[in-house]
Amino acid sequence: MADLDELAEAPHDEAPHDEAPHDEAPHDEPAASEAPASEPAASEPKATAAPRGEVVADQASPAEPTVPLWRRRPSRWAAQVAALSIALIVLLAVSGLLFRHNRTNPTDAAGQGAVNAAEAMALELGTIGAGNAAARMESLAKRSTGEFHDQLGGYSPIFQKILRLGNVSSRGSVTAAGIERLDADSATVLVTLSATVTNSQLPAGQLRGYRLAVRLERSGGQWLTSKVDYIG
Amino acid sequence: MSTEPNTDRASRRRTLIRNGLAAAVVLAAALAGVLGWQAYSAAATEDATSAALDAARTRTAELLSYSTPTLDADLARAKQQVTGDFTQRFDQLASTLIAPNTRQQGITTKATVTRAAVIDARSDRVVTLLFVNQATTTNAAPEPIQRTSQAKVTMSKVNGTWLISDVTPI
Repeated sequence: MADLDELAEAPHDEAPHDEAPHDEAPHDEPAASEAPASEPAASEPKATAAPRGEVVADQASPAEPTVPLWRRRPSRWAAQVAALSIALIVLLAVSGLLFRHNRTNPTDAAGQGAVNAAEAMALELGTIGAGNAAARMESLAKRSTGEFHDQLGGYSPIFQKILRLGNVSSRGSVTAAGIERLDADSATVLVTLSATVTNSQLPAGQLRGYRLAVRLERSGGQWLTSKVDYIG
Repeated sequence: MSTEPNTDRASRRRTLIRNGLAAAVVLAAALAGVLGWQAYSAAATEDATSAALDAARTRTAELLSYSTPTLDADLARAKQQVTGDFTQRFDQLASTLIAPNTRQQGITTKATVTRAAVIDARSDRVVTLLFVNQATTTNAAPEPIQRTSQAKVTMSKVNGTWLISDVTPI
């Protein structure tokens, strides 16, 4: 009889909200005390009306003196709590979305990290010689990933041999660096590098400018170089 | 008898719950406000930066492109790309160096900005790094000669328009 119970509960809540039945019943019918049991039953066509009427009658008369705090205040309290809960949920949901949005969109700090990593990479690439080539290659490999990492590994022995044969060395400095593209976990940084290159033919050295596009990827909070393009 | 303190305690608990919720709503609203402001200012800076970068590309190409037959009009147009102190410096450069050299050698030069990056961005001032390729012909060398250059170009927002306020060759 779950259906009946549910139906019977419905008027429970309404009764205290609008106290019309209690107020009006005595006006219409002076014999209110017995009437509620039969009167609603007559107006309601369905069979469920009878048990419902009884419940209302039970609830109304004995409970009234003690229950009001429970029965009347909840309506206002419940409405306030419901409204506050909804407001809280909406605000927290909005905050969550904004937080995610702010985190996946690059910030100044993230951009600075990418620029610093690109500058360090360019400086290492521009400052190399037969003496430090092996150590430098190792350090470059540690700062790189993907395609560029593989290239370094492949060229390293040949490159070191060329440096040794030509007695080539280069001293570089970064003259400018800026962000071309930046998102949450990848970036492209343009770097201009000025390097003094000396070799067997140019013992006095020659100043050369390089334009680089350094592509970086962020892994574990660290920016690693994935590609270096020389821009002609 | 015992229901009286019970309901009292219950109602006090209800008040406590409601007030607690109200306080939480206030805190959540403040949090949402701060995060919203952060997102808004980040978006505003991003918009300003990309507008400034676009302006830097086109205006720098305009500034560095001119031809002997149309030189006066070209320089007048170039002057409209710049603002502030740089206007005088550019004027001087144009009249003492660019104009005489161009006329004398019959120069036609066209600049293209190939890559552009942001060095520093504020809401009304953005410093850019531009890679420029320049194709130049002269009477003596009618086949275009390609040259590359790079510069720090500072853009300033003047009356809602991004104009070049400084150029530093690198």
